[in-house]
Amino acid sequence: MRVLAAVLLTLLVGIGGGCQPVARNPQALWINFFQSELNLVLVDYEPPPF
Amino acid sequence: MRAGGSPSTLEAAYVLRDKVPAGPWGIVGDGLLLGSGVSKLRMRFEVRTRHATATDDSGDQVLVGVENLFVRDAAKPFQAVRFDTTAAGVASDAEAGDKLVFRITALSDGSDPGGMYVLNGDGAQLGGRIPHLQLPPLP
Repeated sequence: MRVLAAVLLTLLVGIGGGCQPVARNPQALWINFFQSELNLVLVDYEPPPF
Repeated sequence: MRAGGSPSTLEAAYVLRDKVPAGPWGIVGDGLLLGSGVSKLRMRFEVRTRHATATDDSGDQVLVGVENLFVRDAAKPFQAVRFDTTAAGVASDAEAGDKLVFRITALSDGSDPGGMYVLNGDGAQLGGRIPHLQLPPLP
C-alpha cells in the first residue's frame, strides 16, 4: 500500500511539474520612460506614447 | 543625451527570465535630433548583460553593438529620424535574474557640436517607432 501511495505521489508531482509555466525571455523589449526621459526601463509590451 | 556632454549615455534594463542565446538582434533606435544648427549625430547602441548584484558596468558582457549616423531632415526637424538594423550577437553567460541592459551613447566623433539625441518616446506621432529590441530566437 505504501509503495502504491509513493508511486501515485511521484506521478502527481511529475504531472504538476510538467504543468509549470516555463520562464522565457520575451521576444521583444521596448524602452519605456519611468518618470522622466532620463530614467528608462525595458518592458515586454509596447508602451503608449510618452 | 548630448554628444560629449552630460549625460552622453543612457541605459534601460530588464531582469532576465532565461539565458540569452547567440543570434540576430533587431535594434530600433528612432530618435529626435535637437540643437540649433545641428544636422547630424553619431550614436552607439549596445546590448549588454550585467550580473544581478553588479554595482557598475565593469563586469558587463557586451553581446552586440552597432553605430549609426543620424541625419536630421531639415524639412521636418522635429520628426523622428528612423534607424533599425539587425546584427549578430554572441551568447550571454547571464542567468535568470541577471540584467539585460540596452545602452545608448552619443558619440562626439562625427557629431555636430551641441547636438542632442532624444529617444522617440512618441512613436508614430513623430513619424517613428518607440525604440526597442528583438531578441534572438531560442534554438
